[in-house]
Amino acid sequence: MKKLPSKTVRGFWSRKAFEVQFHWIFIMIAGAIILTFFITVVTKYQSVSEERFSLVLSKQLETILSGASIAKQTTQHIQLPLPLKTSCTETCACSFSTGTKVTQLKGTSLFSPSVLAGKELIYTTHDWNIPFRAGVFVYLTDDQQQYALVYDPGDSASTALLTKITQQLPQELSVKNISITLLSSIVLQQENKKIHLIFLNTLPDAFALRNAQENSGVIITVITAAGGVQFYARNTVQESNNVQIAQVPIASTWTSDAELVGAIFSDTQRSYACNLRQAYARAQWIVQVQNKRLDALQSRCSTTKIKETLAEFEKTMKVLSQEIGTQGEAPAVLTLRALQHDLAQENQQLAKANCPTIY
Amino acid sequence: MMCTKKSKITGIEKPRGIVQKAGTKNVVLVGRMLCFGSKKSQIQMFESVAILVVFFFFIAFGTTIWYGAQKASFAQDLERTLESNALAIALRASHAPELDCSLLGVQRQECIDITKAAQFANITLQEQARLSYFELFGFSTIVLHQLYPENLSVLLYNNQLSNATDIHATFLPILVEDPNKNTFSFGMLEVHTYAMP
Repeated sequence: MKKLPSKTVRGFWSRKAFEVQFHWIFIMIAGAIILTFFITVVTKYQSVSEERFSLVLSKQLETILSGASIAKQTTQHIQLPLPLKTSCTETCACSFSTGTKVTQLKGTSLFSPSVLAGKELIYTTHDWNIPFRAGVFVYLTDDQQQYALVYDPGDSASTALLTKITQQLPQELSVKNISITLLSSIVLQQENKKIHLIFLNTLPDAFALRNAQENSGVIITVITAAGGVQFYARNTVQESNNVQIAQVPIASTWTSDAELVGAIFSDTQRSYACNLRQAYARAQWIVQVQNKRLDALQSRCSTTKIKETLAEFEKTMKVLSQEIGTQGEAPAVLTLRALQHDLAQENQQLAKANCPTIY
Repeated sequence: MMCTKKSKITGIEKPRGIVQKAGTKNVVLVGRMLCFGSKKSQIQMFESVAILVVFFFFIAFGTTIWYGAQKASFAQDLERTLESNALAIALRASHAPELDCSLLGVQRQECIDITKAAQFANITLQEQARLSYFELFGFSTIVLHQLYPENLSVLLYNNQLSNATDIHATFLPILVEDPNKNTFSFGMLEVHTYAMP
């Protein structure tokens, strides 16, 4: 066989080689386009999926909270796949959020720590009686929250408060009773755990304050038998050219068992006060219904005195719905306590006289 | 790729690759292979492009089907949410402290005091009260019907939505207490919730 002309051979083989190279380049470009397309689809679907999951979870929580707000004295556990955050703005617009979804709390008084990041959510409810039933408070916590009731064994008011609170709290909660004399022997720093130190009719000692200052997982609340609550917040304090982080108490009050329990579950004064404001705003209408109902009751009994009490009650409710969390709270609460006592007595009188009662 | 070229000597169009002098069989074959090879690569290129086009067509088709299925799923979820919302409003109304039956602090379950209901109905006529209860009851109409032994209806709350896309009706059986006569009657709580467009 004669040898082929080298130029032709070179031409032929270079074209073939070029064709093969171009083929592979084409395959790579097409492959890159397809891969990019699928990666884009998967990424988009992942973000939509996460958002949908947040939405579904928040909807389920909203349903659970709605159901809880009408249930009587229940305690339930549910799984918590995403952290739950609760917050209230300065205008007391309270909401909870899971992932990217924020849900407004519609008429539900919810007392809980600001962040719940445990695996299991525990919710419990308590009737709010003032002295008539004016609503249901819902309390949230998780398996990462621990509660320590610090009492003074030498103070009878402190031990009485301890007994009262222990009866109100659900048994599923991680609660320890600690004497103030033994507090410094306890380890307060635990990984992934938040510790609520509730001082009953006694002030926090230096050990507790130092731990709360150094560790944001330690929260201090002081509850007095006289009806006071102090939430300790970590704030910056200016002391003669030095800026320090210190525990600053912010005062509030409690008048009923439901509020007392709310003070234990809340970790900020703002969320506690906002929930109470909302509750008192609604209680104002309840009292109005009670008062006007007395006129409709065809009763042989005199209701003049109780109508005056209810009228005062309504005014106090209105004041409290605006003044809780401010300096005007304390005098209004004093008035409320007196009215509660009067109303309870007058209601008893109606019952003894076989007349229709207020509650 | 052109398979012919103009000869410089004779000026005749000849197939590319064919040598003027008496070519060997191999040269002729090379020429024809070159012509055939260019057409073959064109066909292959076309095949590759066609495969890609068909592939993306199937992707688009699948995406359209999936989108339709998701849309149906979202519509079902929305329907479930509206039903759940309607039931929540109905339960809130049936357990409202403004309407409950109580004696010395003890509440009777699933019971509404007719005297409280009448006063509540008057109060919710006020704009301020309706705004206040909007958080609880939203866009809904709540009516208490006393069915037996006497018929009576009380419009407890009315906040209709004129351009609602859907209306859900929930009926809850309830006891109706009359503290004046100290009697209980059978009743029903009718709750209509309106879905926003």
